[in-house]
Formats: sequence, C-alpha cells, structure tokens
Amino acid sequence: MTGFLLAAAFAAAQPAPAPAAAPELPYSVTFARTRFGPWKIEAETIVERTTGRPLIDYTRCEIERGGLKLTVWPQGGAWFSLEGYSREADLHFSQNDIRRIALDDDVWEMRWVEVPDSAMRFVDVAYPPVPPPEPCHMCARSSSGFWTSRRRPGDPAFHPQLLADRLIRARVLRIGFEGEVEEAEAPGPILWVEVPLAGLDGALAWCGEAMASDRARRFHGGIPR
Amino acid sequence: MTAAPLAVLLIAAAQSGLALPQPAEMATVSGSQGGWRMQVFTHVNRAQSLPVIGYLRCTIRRPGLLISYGASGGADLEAGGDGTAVAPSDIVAIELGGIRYQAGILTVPRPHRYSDVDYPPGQAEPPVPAGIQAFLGVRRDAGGPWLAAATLVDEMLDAPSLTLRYRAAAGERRLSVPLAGFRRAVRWCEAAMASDRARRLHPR
Repeated sequence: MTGFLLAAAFAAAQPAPAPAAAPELPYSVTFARTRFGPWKIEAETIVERTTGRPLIDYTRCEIERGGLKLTVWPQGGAWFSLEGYSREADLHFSQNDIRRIALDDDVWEMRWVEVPDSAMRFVDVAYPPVPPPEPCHMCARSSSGFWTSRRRPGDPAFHPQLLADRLIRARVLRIGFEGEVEEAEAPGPILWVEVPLAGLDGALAWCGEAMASDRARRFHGGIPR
Repeated sequence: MTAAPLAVLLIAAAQSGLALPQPAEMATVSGSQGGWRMQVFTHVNRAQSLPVIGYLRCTIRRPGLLISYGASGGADLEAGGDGTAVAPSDIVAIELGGIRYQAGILTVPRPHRYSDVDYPPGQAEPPVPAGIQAFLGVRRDAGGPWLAAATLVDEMLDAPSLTLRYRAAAGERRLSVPLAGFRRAVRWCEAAMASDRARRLHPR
C-alpha cells in the first residue's frame, strides 16, 4: 500500500505530458483531376489555416496545355498565364520573351512595363538619395512591373487579363515571342507558337461541374499530387 | 448633425492637438470631355518613414457606367446607379458589339466549412476578408463561365454604345449608354496618372 501510494505520488508529481502537436494543415486539397482531350485539368480547394480547423478559403480549377494555363473560380473570374515549351527546341520561350498574342485574327502587342521605385515617390517630398544600381549584364528582369496589351500604337494599354473573354471565345491562340540572336544588342525575330483552343469550352464545363459537386466540399480523401 | 456643430468639433479637435485621420486616398486630378467625367485618385502609403504612392487609379464615368482604371492597366466596371433608374442588382444583361451577355452581381464567398470536418461548437467564423466582396459579372451563355464585366472594356473602345437590360416593374427595360469618346477618356487617364499633378502629396 505504501509503495502504491508512493508510486501514485511520484506519478502525480510528474509534469503533464505535452499535448500532441496539431497536424499541419495542407495548403490545398485536390478533389478532381482529369484529361479532356489535350487539356489537363485539376480542381482544388485552398485551405484557410489560421483558425486551427481547416476551412475552404476558396475553390479554383486550372486548365492547362502547352503554352497556356487558365484558372477559373466558381464565383466568377478567369486568369490566364502564358509560358511553355513547344516540341521543337527552337520554339522554347519564357513569359519574359512574349511580344505578341493573337486570338484568331486579332493581334495585341505585349509589353512589360517596369516600375522603378522613383515612380511611386511624391514629387514634393524630400526623400534621401538612392544610389544608382550596380551595372548588371546578366540580371533577370525586375519583378516590379506589370504586363500590358494593346492592339494598335496609341491605344490604351490594358492588363492582358482583360482579354479573358476573347480567349475563351477564340478558336486559336498564337503567342509571338522574341527568338534568340547571336548579337545580344539586336532584337530577335518574332517567332510564333500556336495553341489550338478546341475543347476549351468542354474543359470549362467540366470545371464548373467539379466545383459545384459534393467532392469540392470534402477535406479528406483528396487526390495525391 | 448639422454643419455648424461639426465645424466646431473639428476646430476644437485641432486646437486640442488631436491627430485627425488622414485620408489614404486623395482626389488629385480631374477632367471631363465628351460627356465623360474623369477623376484620378492617389493612394498614400504611410507605412514607411516617409509617405509614398501606394497606387494610382482613375475613374471614368457617365450616367449608367463607372470604370475604375488602374495605372497598371487593370480595370473594374460597374453599371447602373449614378443618376439613372437602374439599380445594379436589377441588371440582367449587357449588349455590346452585337452580343448579349448575361449579367449579374457575383459575390466573393467568405471562407466556409468542409462537409467532413468536425468543427467544435461555437467556433467563430473567420472575419470576412477585406477588399472587393461583390462585382458585376457577365457570361456569353448559360453554360459558360462568369467573368468580371471589366473584360468588356477592350471591346468598348471601338463600340458606339452599350445597352443595359434591367428588371423594372413593367418588365425588362433597356438603357443605352453612348461610348463615343471613351477611348480618349482612357488615354486622358493614362496621361493624368503619369503626370506630376497626380504625384503631389500637397496639392497646389
């Protein structure tokens, strides 16, 4: 009995075991994936993780084929990005090389507009002088800037995302990018990659059904990457 | 509260040394042409030791249409209101360039629960995120995806007019909004947002 009491007292004197660490919540849950013709499609929920229990922050569906990725949301809206590699090595391009996009017979000039820090300064505020940047011949493009698109010189330059309706309606997307030349100072020729858009309407319909399904509201049983 | 007592309070606050809240967005440059009214707003970012420009936007409006155009080329489009008899929530279609787009107000949903997670009773819902919660959406047909109405802005550059179809007590009615001069209004905005006048913290 005394031994039992001593053991009980000893056990009571031990610090309480630390609670098990809460499992880390995933960034997203993929609930549907398929191939629709040439289009690869994936639908997922983005997990809201700040309250401890997972919540659906938002839902999205991504439709992709070489050169184009289109993202849509169930509440509306579309966002597209252009980047990819063709089967021909000479036609590899990155987003930085894009100079034109064409949707069927309409062509837009694409231009990256850099935004230096000075552009966001008030002209009547005395800021400390900024030292000039170090010369850099192989620097990547500054990330401070934005893409613009316009049909003709002198037209307003809108963000390319405003062309989403035209993209969805078009039969073919052509991406014009600047090819490489030996002389670095000379601009390269404009090369074109064609992205047929046949089947995109079907892919969008698949996305709509997937995002409206019961699977879109499940946290468990997601499709592994 | 009438104007006089409010003025007294403001003067009293200033004299007492109370810091009055400084607006984050200032109306800086305005103009009008061809029935369009334009206004540049300059956002002041005071998070650093010296204020800098957070962003620039320009509104282009006439009765029935309001386009908010950002210096980086983005845009939002609102329709109805502004002295017309059209409530934005009553708009059912927009006709532009010979195409009828179904229209409606789309809302950005707040974070919501998964169907297969046990949530403790009384767990507070997360706060509604700040920013745009609703926007005017359009789609070409019932099976197509909804897009922000701002995707019509590029088409508006060359169109003579845009028609709003809306619900009314007597049935569906239409309001035609002329678009002549819209291209020039957008270019005015681009020039105004690039000007020094939009970059003055203390307007002359």
